[in-house]
Amino acid sequence: MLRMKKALTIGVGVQAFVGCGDIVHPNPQVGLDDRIILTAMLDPTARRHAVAASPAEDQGLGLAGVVFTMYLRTADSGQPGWTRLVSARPLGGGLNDEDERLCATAVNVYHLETSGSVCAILDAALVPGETYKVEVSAEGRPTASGSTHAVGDFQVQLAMLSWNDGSPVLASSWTPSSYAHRYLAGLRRWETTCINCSEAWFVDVDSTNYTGPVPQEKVDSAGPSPAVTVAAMDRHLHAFLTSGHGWDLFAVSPVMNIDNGLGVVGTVITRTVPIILQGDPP
Amino acid sequence: MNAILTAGVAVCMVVVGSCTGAVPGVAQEPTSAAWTLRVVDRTSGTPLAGVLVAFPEYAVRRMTNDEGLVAGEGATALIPVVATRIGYSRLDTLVALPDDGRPVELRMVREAVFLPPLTVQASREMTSRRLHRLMFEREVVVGAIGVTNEEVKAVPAMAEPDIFRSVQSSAGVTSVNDYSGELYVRGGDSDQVSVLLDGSPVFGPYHLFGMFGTFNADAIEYAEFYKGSFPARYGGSLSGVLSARPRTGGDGGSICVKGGLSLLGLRLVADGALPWGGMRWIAGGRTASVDVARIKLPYSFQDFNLGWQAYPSENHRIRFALLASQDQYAWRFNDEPSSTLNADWANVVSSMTWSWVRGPDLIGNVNAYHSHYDATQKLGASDRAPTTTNRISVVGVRAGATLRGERLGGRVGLSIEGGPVNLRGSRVGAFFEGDASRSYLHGSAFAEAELWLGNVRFAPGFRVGVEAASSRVFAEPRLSVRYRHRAFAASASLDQTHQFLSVLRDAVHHAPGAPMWFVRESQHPMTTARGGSLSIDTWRGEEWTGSIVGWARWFHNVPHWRPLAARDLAVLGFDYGSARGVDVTLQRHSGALRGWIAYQWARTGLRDSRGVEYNPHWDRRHELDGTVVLAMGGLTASIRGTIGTGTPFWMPAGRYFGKFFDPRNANSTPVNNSDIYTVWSNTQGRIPPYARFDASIRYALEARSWSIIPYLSVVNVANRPNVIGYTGIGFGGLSDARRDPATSGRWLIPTEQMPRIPFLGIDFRFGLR
Repeated sequence: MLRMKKALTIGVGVQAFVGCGDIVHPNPQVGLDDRIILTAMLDPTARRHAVAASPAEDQGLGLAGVVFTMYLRTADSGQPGWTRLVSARPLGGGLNDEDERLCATAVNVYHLETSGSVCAILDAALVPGETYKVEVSAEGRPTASGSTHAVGDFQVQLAMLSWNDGSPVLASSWTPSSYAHRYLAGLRRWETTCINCSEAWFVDVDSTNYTGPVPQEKVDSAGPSPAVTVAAMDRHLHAFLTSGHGWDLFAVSPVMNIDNGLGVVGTVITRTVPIILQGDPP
Repeated sequence: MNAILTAGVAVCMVVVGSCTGAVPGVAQEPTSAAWTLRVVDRTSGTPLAGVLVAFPEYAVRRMTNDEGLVAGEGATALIPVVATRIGYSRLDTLVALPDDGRPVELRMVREAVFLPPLTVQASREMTSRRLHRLMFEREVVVGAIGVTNEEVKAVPAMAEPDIFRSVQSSAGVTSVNDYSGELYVRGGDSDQVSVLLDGSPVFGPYHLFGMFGTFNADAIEYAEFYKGSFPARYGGSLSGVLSARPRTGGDGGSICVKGGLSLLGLRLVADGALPWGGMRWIAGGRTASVDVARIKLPYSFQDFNLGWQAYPSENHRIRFALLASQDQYAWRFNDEPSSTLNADWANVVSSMTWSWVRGPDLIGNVNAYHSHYDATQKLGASDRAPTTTNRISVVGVRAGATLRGERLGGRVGLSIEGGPVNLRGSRVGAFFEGDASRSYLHGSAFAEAELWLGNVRFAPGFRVGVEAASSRVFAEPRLSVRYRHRAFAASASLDQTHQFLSVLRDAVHHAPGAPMWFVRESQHPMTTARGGSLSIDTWRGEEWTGSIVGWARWFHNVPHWRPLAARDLAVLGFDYGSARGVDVTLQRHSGALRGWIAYQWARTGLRDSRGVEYNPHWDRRHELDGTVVLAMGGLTASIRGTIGTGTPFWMPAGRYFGKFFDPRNANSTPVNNSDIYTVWSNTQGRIPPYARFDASIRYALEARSWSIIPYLSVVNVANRPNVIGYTGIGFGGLSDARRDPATSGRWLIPTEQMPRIPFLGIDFRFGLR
């Protein structure tokens, strides 16, 4: 009996301790990080390129003294080097529609005034096959940079949807994009964006054509005027867009090519054509 | 004349036995005794406690106390006496008891200790005290303990008894969280502990993310566990060895079936004997399927054990053990198909050992083994989802001989082990990218010696080897010394160890699931550890043991992998550091109320290649762990409490959106925001203190050869929200009490560990004739 009482006393004592959840329970502080997240998805067929930067640390302090610079890799007397092409400071408030559209669509930066992110437009013509570096500097932070090479233009030659035993089959082909690493091809509505229609569907190929099945629900969500979008991209941007596993404690970050920072610098050319429907859908 | 004398002795012994009311096997204090026997070590003269002194003719047994004394009443006579104790030759003699009651001294000779006895005999259940004594007598190294089946089942567990969880409750072993049964020993990482099944390495020794081990407690007789220091016959790991000994039953000619059914699944083990060569066999398995709704995690595992043991002749034994296990899970974080972590891994481990006993002076054994490990981790649900695979197929042979004399003994041996270790990533974005496949061939020779000089026992050892693929040669001197006096012993150990096979672990993102092993490339150094430890052990009879251990260790070239871009071995760094600590253990082995309490203070610090100091995630400074078992008749209640200070973590600093190709976006660049990723700073914090209280109650219903034991086990009885880590940063309005005003309204979002979970189950045992 005495032993039982002892055991019970010990048990109650431990229970009381562990039940008091917040004894000596200081909340850890949020950490510090002075890096910059640089995002630059350059379109070699365009002249104006939107690039964005945001602080890695969610401190709400934003970035100060930001300068974006683009360089071209050159060889001077056989030694590789970089030639500055253009520099730009971030766009301020009251963007014109064109600049805001470039920033919003190119780098998904919304509400520049409150997000802590900044966006700039770099005006430069990119030559396929050449290597470019985009660099961002800010006061009190290490300069972040990433390099990529420009992919070449291409055209979609075929986009046809047919039905094989009631299942939709997409046949699409395009001309090769010089220096492209891989192509991503997917369905969309021709006229409008419909993000909420259903989950995105696309294929990831290293060839210049795709012939294969498409889930019926994706065809349905593309509406009566479906289209195929093909994107040719370099190795870095392809890796960034197709890797990573987040949302939780055990995340694996996407592959990034930024030195002294986070994010991606890459090139992409996108072409969209309406799909020809062959035969009647079931 | 002799017959009369013998009859007279018999009458006297009967009188003695009835008058004293002596309980066989219990030590007696020499009070007003008519006769006294004193049992000592023949070489050192040290009194021997725990010696079983039997008087066969009268069916009386006594056990010596700490003074080595056993006493009784009766007339002087010539009495046959048999004295037995582990580590000593059986003494069978006639004793002439003097009239004046002077103690008669019996001297016992040391002999080689081997487990279990190589002769066929009814097996005795390995009690915790018996195993504790056996390990203490056999090994001079500091920190060698044994874990019995009894102790494994005493610890309240998640659904099933688990050897790893029991080992975690001992001092010197750190646990990092509720979901991990991995063993962090004396400041080292969990991959620095070799897990062996009868000598064969097990590369994926965990189920359920590491919540518990892959060893079926019903199929294991006991486990030997070396913390920090281990004998020269073990190599290839830095911080510890857990060697599980499979059980082979089959006593009494019947088939015994044991098992259990719980909310987790079913386990079943059968053992028996065959009429050829004293052969015994065991076969068992487990199957479990878990779908933890709270974390959307369908998980299943199975494991299978097979073993047999045969005695072709009196001096020879052959033993075989097989373990096969398989785990699968798919963790869906949210509704995005890409947010799925799929993992599966499997082990097939086999070991065959031939032992030959020429006598108490010479024992030889040869062990051949094979270990196959296959693991896959896939991020995402599509066929092209990045996948990492790890395949190991290792074979090995180990041969050794143990020689034992009165003052000098030793053990020598050779081993060779090798095979391919393939680690590959299918493409960019996998946990590991590229190909780090290599084969290794590791040969070594070892020698251990033991020398008794009075009360001091010296045990130097040496291990030398080569890793052929990289032409690395290593030498590992080891030294242990023990001084013993009555119920007190002081021991010291010094050692040096190397390791070239490690688990690739992302220093920031601790992905759950299968460990991914890799072999160092030629330009990569081996990891080295040097250390020393001191211990003081004491005991009181057969009931109490206690120890205090102080230790310090230095690590060099500990792999450190923190990929920011390319996830390959190009970014593998090698760190160095040290660890030190003190641990205290007190254990009561018998009685209705038994258990143990262990306290550890430890500190581990490492420096990376830039010289920046950090604390690894297993650096828990204080840990108090206690288990109490109360047995009353068929009812057994047990409580385990663990209290510890928090472990380090890398503090999140911010968040950013990943991007994915979204053709639905009709704008010029068809991308959209994907997962949120945390920016992990280079600053460490500490998780708040941890406390957990588990309880279980079991009741045994027995009838004839049946035994049914229903049980209820509750993990985290108090439902305390222990924190496992932080997933990101929260923002909010002024009304949230958890916010810290100094950080501009930001706070860390905690993820909690295991909530209160009850487990109902039933164990059973029955015999078939």
